[in-house]
Amino acid sequence: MHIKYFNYAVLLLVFSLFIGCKSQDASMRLRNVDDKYVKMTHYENDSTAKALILGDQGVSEIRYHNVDGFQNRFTRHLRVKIFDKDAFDIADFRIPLYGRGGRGERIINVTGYTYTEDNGNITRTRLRRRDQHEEVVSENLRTVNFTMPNIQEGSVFELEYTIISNFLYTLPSWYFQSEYPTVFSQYRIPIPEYFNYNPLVQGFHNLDSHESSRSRRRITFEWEEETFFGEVERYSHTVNYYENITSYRMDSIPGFKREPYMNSMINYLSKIDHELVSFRPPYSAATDYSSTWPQLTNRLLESDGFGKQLQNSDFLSDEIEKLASDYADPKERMVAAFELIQDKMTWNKKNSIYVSESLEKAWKDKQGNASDINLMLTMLLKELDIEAHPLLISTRNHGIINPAQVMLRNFNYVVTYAMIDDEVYLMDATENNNPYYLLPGRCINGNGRLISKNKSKWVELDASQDNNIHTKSQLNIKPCGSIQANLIRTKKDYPRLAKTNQINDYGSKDDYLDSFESDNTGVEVISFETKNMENWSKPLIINYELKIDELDTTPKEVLYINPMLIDQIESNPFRIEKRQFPVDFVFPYKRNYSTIIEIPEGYAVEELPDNAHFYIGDRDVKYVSSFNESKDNNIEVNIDFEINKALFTPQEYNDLKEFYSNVVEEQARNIVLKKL
Amino acid sequence: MILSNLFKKKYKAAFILIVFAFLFESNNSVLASEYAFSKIPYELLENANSVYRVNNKEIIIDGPASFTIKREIAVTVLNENGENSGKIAIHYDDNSRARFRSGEIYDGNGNRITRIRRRDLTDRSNISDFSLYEDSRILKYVPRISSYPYTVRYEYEVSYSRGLFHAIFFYPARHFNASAQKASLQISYPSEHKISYKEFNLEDDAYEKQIGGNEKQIKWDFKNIEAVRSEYLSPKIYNLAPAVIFASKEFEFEGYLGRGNSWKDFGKWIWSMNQGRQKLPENRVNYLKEKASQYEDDRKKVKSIYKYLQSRTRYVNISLGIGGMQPVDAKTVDQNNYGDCKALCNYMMAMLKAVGIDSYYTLIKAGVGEYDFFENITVSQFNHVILCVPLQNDTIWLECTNQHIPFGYIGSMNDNRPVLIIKEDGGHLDKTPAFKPKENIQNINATIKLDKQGHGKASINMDFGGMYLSRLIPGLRMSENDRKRWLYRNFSFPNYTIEKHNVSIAEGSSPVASLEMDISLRSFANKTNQRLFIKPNLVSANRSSPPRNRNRNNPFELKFENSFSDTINIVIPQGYIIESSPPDYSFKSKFGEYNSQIITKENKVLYIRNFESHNGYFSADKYHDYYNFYQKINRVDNQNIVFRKE
Repeated sequence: MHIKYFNYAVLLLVFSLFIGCKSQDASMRLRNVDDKYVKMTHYENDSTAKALILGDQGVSEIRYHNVDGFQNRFTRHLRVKIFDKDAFDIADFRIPLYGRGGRGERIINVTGYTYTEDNGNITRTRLRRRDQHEEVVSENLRTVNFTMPNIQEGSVFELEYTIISNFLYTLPSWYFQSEYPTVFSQYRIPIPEYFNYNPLVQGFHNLDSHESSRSRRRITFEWEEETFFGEVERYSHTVNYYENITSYRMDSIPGFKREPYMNSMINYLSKIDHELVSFRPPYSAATDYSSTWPQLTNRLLESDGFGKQLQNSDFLSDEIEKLASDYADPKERMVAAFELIQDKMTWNKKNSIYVSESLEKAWKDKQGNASDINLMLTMLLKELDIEAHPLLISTRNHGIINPAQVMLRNFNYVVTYAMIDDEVYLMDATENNNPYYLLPGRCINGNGRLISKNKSKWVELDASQDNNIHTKSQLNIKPCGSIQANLIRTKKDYPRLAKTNQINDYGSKDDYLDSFESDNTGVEVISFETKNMENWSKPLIINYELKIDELDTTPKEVLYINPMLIDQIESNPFRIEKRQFPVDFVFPYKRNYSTIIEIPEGYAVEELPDNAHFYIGDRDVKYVSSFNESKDNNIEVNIDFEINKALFTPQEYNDLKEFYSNVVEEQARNIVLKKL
Repeated sequence: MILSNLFKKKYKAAFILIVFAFLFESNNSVLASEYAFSKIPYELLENANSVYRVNNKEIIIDGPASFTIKREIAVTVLNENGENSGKIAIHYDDNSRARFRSGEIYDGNGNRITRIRRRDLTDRSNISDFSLYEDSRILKYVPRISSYPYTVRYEYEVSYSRGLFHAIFFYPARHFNASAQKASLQISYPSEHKISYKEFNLEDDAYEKQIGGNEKQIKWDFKNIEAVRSEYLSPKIYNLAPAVIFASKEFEFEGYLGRGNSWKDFGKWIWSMNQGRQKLPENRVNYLKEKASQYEDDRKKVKSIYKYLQSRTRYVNISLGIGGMQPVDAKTVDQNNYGDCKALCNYMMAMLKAVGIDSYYTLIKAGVGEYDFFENITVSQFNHVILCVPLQNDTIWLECTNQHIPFGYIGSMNDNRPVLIIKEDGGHLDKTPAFKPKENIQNINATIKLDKQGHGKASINMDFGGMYLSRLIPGLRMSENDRKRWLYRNFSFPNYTIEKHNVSIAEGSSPVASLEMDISLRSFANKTNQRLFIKPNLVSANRSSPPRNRNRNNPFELKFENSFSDTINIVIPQGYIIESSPPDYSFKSKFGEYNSQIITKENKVLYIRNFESHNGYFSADKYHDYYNFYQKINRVDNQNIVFRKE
């Protein structure tokens, strides 16, 4: 079908219909703000709120346009009350528009008013066109920036705009919740029966209403064609269809507050998304987009940007041949392949499930996104006769995967899944300093989806490796109280990765020691040595020789010694009384300190701290300390501190807080020695 | 006909291609060895994360209304920390055009790995965090090379269709932790055009000046400039390494012609752009007149209008074209009630004018400790505008972009620095007031009562003045719950619960903000079977210290003078006697004075601490003393008093 012209009259008709029907069932109308909202001094449900969303309603509808085809028209009408100047930035807008040129999104009908009480009169100030600025952020993104005029404490403003988009694979996300409380938030989605979307609702608050209805509509297709004799003939055809209308609503939604040690807030905000499942245009067969995991897997495996890439390995043939001949043992071969990709390829810091162009191009450029690098690794392993599959995941700042939602857009990253003799390896070759068996911290987020013809499944991304830090120290005490100490710290897996990165990030050893001393005030490093920095087959060993000098160097009658020279937890990180969201440590870990204190000649133990032992739940966290005097005039101190799971629910928060209080208290304990 | 033309074109193209290929080939073989890592002199590698093999800047001034900057940079990135030097960032805006000429990346041996083409650069808007809209844009390229060293070489130019009205800084090695093998700054300008410059740390053998031609030209050549290490409290790089500041004395911007022969001239230019932009609607003028008529005293009038400004307007930075230099007119601000620093100052000036009080638009370089100023470079070195209100007995300085600060408070962003006051007859240099040591205060008074278990109940009162006042400003306007969260984030007492809290501010000539807090301290005294351990310095114990800097290279600068005082009363449970108590300490150095005292009487402990810090510029060899001074304070601050059961 060739469509050359469209009929303005029809468009106008559709348009007026659209306006008409919108105002009919809307609960807010432009320029119709009740004075009581302007005079309102506080919000009853939350008197501390600095602003209040009086109403936020969105309509996302799909209509047929004679030139552009089906389009999404997203209209938002927002009304906000501002109580306090600290909330003024809620009046700043940066509305994103994706795509460029004719196919890019357009914004129309930006209308805004601010209502402010001025000496008893309510004035209405209009948002002017010339105060709106379009910013070309990058090739594919523009934003329309403006701030509402005449914003005062007490002002109410309302804003309406429409974004027209040709992008139909997903519908605009709708957030029911914001930093400020909301009176009501409503999202209405009228969609032709040809489209089938899968809704995804998330957040801690439930929908107050969820309604569906249908109405009849029609599309008139119009086009002109040149006949054989050079005349132009006009054609038109009308199709009747049903429009499915879904409406979601939430009322009295509290404001959202961030908390420390929590995963990305997008996991907890109440919002709704839609992803296209299938599209069946009139008189045509349906195209299936995504409805079941097997379908989604098949589509991915057949797509040019994903599965097809795994089929061309010619450009790697030299490497494949070399690896295959150099390494007979499959595991050694796998590790060598991982290190090859890690070494040759540089990550461009972009997350994606699709390759940027092709694996061959990425290999040629020696750089690529996460998909380029890890699909390449997957392919390489397959060619080396190692079972390997891509694993789709969502990184921590992209939100956690809900396995019940069959939606591709929830994923933003690919890692490699390999299996040798029933042993599973999850690998990411993007970073240049992690070993094959550790995924970077950003990847540790719920479950990933294995993409394979017949082995698709969920794979848990946990980081409960051997995250141990062992600190063995020997303390030599001088009669004046000065301490000389030798510490040997052994670190594995994630804590080790963090440490190697930290040491490497400092330009020099001296810079690292400066920061170490600043973190552990009073401690002076005499010597420092690392072992196995690069050798991941062995744990990282750091040897510190330290001294802590006493100001007054005369011998003392009584000596007080805290065996926690470094790492002492001096303050409870959990201070607020109540917690709304889970505490997320990312990975579980264990710390052990075994310390030998040499009692100086002429002194004896006067008092040792009591041994302590406490934990919560089924040893989810644990603290054990013991102080013993040995026969050879030494004191042996042993401390175990364990966080045995990564995620703690808000219900467990109080116990966790109490646990840390006890740890702070225990770690402040002193040993008392007395002169004989 | 058509065909033959086409053939001609093709032929021509092929010919050009051949010539180009030839040029490139021959060029390459020369360049290849040129950028080899091995050709870097050893001394340029010390303290360097990157080495500028070439850093050339050429400024061509066509006249007052246009100029061009040409750049050629070749930088060898030595390690991960030098990666930023290898990134290409070309800034431009609505008044300028950027052209990327060529670029290549070379490996450690100087062999070309890849070419960088214009289409490889991303073109993005470049809006600062505090802005809603600006027209500034950036062309960017980030090399992704996994093995070091590598060299990025590129050339570009930006032509401006406006005058050069701000100072241009040139450092051969561009920044800390970078060295330069070859660098040059060349400026060409018409003979009648006037320029000025200032040189820093130039040794005779390090540069060469050439002046000649019909057009005037001046050139500095630099060779083998060693890297300056970035160190704690380092002065600005121009104090430590060669640098040139350059300014044009004539410039035009959208029809406004300015001269920078003197501060008077420069001020006149600003005046001309601001002229006629102070008109307010009549109803506003009447309203303000009525408001001001309630007060006799001019100071009170100014204050009431400042409060009105604070309550009505907000700071939104939108800077566009000439808007980057010219304030939005007062009428528009009156309607929108928002604006940037220029617009809000101009608006405040208009409001004061409406009630018959003169005030002056004042240019300033804002930023904590940004005190450096080059008096002989008489063009813009500024980034902010405040308002100067001279009254009969004193001068009031007003920061117009903050809705929460007390009247007349300009904070550490604006204190103690030269400013240019704009009057009809031109610019006048002046200086904003400095906070005196007794104004930069943090005074703490606390009483802590302990129970038998060693748990404490404390009431704490903290006063913050001068530059520290702003610490409490966020807390002033928070709801009870939010403030509690904020306090929990900002204080790390061992184990504590906040029971009561309040933040208030006492306005005046030197305003003071106060925080009152009742807290319970779990195990404030660490208890063993026989003993109680107490750290009396609850609040201001220094927990972090300056870095040791085993090999200090740079001098250091202490910019502020402060006084801190603590008075803490502790009541311990009955039945204990003192076993050990730290002695009194009193020591001083060039960097400050410290006193602490502990007085125990029965079950009462009084802890008093006073610390005054001095400012100054010190040579590198004094750094060790500075470090030791703070180490000592640290040690003294964290000492325990030990009590034993009777």
